Amino acid sequence: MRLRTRLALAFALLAVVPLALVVPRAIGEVRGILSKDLESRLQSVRTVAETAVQETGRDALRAVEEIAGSVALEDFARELRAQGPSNQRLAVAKRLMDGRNLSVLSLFDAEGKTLSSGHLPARVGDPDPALFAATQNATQGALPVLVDLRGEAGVHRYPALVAARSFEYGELRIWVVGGRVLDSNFADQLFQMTGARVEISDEDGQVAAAGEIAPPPVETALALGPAVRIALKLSRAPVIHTETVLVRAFIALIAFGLALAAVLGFLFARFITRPIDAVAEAATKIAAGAFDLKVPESSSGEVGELVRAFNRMTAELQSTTQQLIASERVAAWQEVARRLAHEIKNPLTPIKMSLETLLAASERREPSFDQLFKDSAAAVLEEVERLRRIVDEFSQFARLPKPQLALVNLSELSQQVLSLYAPPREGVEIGSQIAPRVWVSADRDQLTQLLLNLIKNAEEALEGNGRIDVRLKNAAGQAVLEVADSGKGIALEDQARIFEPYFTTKQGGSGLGLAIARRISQEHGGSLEVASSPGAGAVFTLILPAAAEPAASNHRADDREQAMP
Amino acid sequence: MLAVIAASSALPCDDSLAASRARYGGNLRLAIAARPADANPSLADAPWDAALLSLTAKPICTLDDGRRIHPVLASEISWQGAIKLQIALRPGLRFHDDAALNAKEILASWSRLSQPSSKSPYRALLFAARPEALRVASAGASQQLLEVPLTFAWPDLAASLCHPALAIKAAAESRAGIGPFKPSSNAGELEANLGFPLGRPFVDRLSVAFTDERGAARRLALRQAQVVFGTAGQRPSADSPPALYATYLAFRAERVGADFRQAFDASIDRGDLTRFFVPAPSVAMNALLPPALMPQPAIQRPPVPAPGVRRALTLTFDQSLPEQRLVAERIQVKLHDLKYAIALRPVPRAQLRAAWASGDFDLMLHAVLLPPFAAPALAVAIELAGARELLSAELPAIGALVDAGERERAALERARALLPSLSLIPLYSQAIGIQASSEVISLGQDGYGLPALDDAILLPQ
Repeated sequence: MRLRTRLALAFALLAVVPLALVVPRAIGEVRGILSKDLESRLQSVRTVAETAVQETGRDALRAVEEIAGSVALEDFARELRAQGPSNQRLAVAKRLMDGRNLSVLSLFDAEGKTLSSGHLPARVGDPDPALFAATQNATQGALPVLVDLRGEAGVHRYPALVAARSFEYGELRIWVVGGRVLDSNFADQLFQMTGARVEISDEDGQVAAAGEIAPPPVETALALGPAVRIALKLSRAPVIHTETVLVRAFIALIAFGLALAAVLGFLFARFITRPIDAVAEAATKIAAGAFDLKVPESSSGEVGELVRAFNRMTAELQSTTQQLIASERVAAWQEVARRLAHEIKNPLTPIKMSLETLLAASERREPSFDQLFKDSAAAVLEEVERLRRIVDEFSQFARLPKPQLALVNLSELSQQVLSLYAPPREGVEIGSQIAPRVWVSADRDQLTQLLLNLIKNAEEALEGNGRIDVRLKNAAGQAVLEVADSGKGIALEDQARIFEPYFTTKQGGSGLGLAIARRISQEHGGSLEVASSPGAGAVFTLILPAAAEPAASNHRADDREQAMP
Repeated sequence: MLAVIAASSALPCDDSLAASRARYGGNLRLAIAARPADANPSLADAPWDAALLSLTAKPICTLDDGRRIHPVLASEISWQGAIKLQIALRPGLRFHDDAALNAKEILASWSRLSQPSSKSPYRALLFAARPEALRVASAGASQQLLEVPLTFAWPDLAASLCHPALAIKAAAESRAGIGPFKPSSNAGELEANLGFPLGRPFVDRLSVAFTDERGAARRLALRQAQVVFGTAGQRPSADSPPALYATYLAFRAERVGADFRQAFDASIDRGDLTRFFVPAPSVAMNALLPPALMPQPAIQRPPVPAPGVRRALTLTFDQSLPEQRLVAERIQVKLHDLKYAIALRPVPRAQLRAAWASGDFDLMLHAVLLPPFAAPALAVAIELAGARELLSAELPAIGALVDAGERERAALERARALLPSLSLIPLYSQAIGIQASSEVISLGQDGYGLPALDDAILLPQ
């Protein structure tokens, strides 16, 4: 992973870690505050509901006391005492209820029998123990009881808050029990006051409800006696919504912080690592031979010191390298001169000896001088010819012309060169695997010479019977030509020198064939390498940059791979 | 003319005035403590409905308070053997719209009620008659004769024909009738029918106002009304008119369960029900027929049946009768304790009658005006119970008894015997409550307890 990337990630982590530590705690704090607020609201709702219930009870008590002291009730009592129960007074309780905000009112005799009922006229003549029970605790305020109410669908039991007061007319005692049903109207009233959903229930379940809230709810409840319960529910949805919005905001903040930290970290890392990158790039180029490269010294501090040290190092390296090159060049030319001198010296000795033989024969007036002269002249000429050939080859090596590049079908060229060796000399077998349409950009003549040199070198290496294999293929954008022989191979110490001029392991070899071949390959941007094991032959591998096949090329000869036995 | 009966204590009777010559004229102001009802005679189930109807439409005869038959549209009603009744119509009868009334109109009125499609329990009144054989025997210019052949002997048919539900109405769209009064051109007024066969009423016109019970009493107190229907402060007494408007609780046995009658009898006291919730004059019914027709046995309250599964029922009742709502609520509340969830369904009377006829009900409060004779009253009750098949089994045996007293006893015996098997629970019977100011005298009632305003005399103030 690049240093720049590591630095960017480090910056991002530095930004995220504090957020990851702070955000959950902040969310928890906010959640706690919201929950407390909701609990506070719930408590407030409960207080309002309790007040409303108490107020309802007080209203009921006031109304019942007013009825107990009313003239209408006295009239009722008088008629009752005079005429007994009848339907004439059926509607009395109903009339007494009107205008007093009562939804329950029954008039009982002392035994608990209903004399008149405003909320359930059909109860007249019957006892109503549930409602009459309120008279047992008449000194208290309003009490929760369960009362029967009828509707078109049937009779239903509802919770109610009722108060009781007695009225005495002579020996006649009448109980007035009245109050308010805790029905859907009451639930709706509470809902209007509190904003909470109100559910009123008795032992058998829910009897009234008002208000709609989004789930989930939180609840508090008022217990009115053992049988009546008023549940007040507030929605947690707003709290959850707020929490959700908050969490989303924090997540967005983290994401934004992360992205910002990554970008800023990348830019900062890039700023920091730019000189280092320049140093690394320069080192790469220097390794490739560009010793004159200098890194701009724009940075300060440790990095600037590094750049300056690097530049000093490259300057010293350049100087040392130039000196080394000069030394090597001198050494190389010395070696070439030594070998050339050696080559030249070899024919000079027979020439000298022939001429000295002729001079001696001439002084002795040898009768066979003529024949001897003839032979010596021939030997001198032969050596001179040899000298000329040495000079020509050296000249060719030294003055190798710049290659005239053109698209060359290496497959076709290889076939042509191989055809020069058909048939091969006795005991030699030549095989080939030539991939079709392998194109290179090359000087055709130089490339032909290169191939001839390699095949000739292989043939010479066989020293008798053997096999030569020529393989051409296109691999990864490169043309790869291999010439393998089954000769005795090349000793390991010779493999390093085999491409040096005038180095040869063969009798009669000039020592320039492989040197020229390598030089041609290098002039074409390629390479020529050898691989060999003693006794196992040698493989010379020529690698040249492959070229694109021209559009109008003739594929006739390359449509299939050529093979020679 | 109807016999004038002594009024109740609310109807002051001045002997000296009664003995004096009747005075004609005057505008009698009548207040009715009810809402206007249907003018269809077969739907006149409430006392004041029938009373109002009888002012403008009479059957061929009426009964006096001694249950004697008085022909009105007929001049004579006579038996031609045991199974044929002959009716001679008065000549020159005309409806209020001046259309002539002939025998065919009468046959058409009866046929409408006796048809199987008739949605009325009153068709039992004509059960013995053969509707297809009803015919006009003679249609001469002077007198028209109607012959009513019977399938079996039914001596009470003549009295049955006096039932207000058989009031004759024109077949024409006007639905006009023949009564002592006829509609006036002024809304809310009836004027004396000078051509009424029994003679014109004493007063010239009636002003009719509909109000509630308190409003009617107030009008009477403020002298805004001189006669009030539907209010009464007194309980029935020996001098009171017969309470023949019987209200039953009809039920569908397959819907209410086998022990419904037991549950009802165990939980509901008819005496309390009547005393607390039904306006006077009213009386509880413990038997199939009201106390005016048969003695009421004391009901032994059965034990409360063990509560079973909760049963949801619907109680249908007449929305125009306030006391039926109170009674329905009472039944609803009392049976609620025995796990009957009863929903109330108030409907118009015509719809109630249609529901009864189709059997589309669980429970139904149904009021009918029973004839003041036990045998035809039994027939109406059986019809009301939806047990029409019993009529052909029960009525011929009763009708075969020549003696009226024996027929009464036989009918009452069958009423006692049939009650447990009928899907009918008798509740209470009512008479019309009447109050009149002191300036009204000679206000009588007929055998059905209907006030005879055509006999009323308005004293000058």
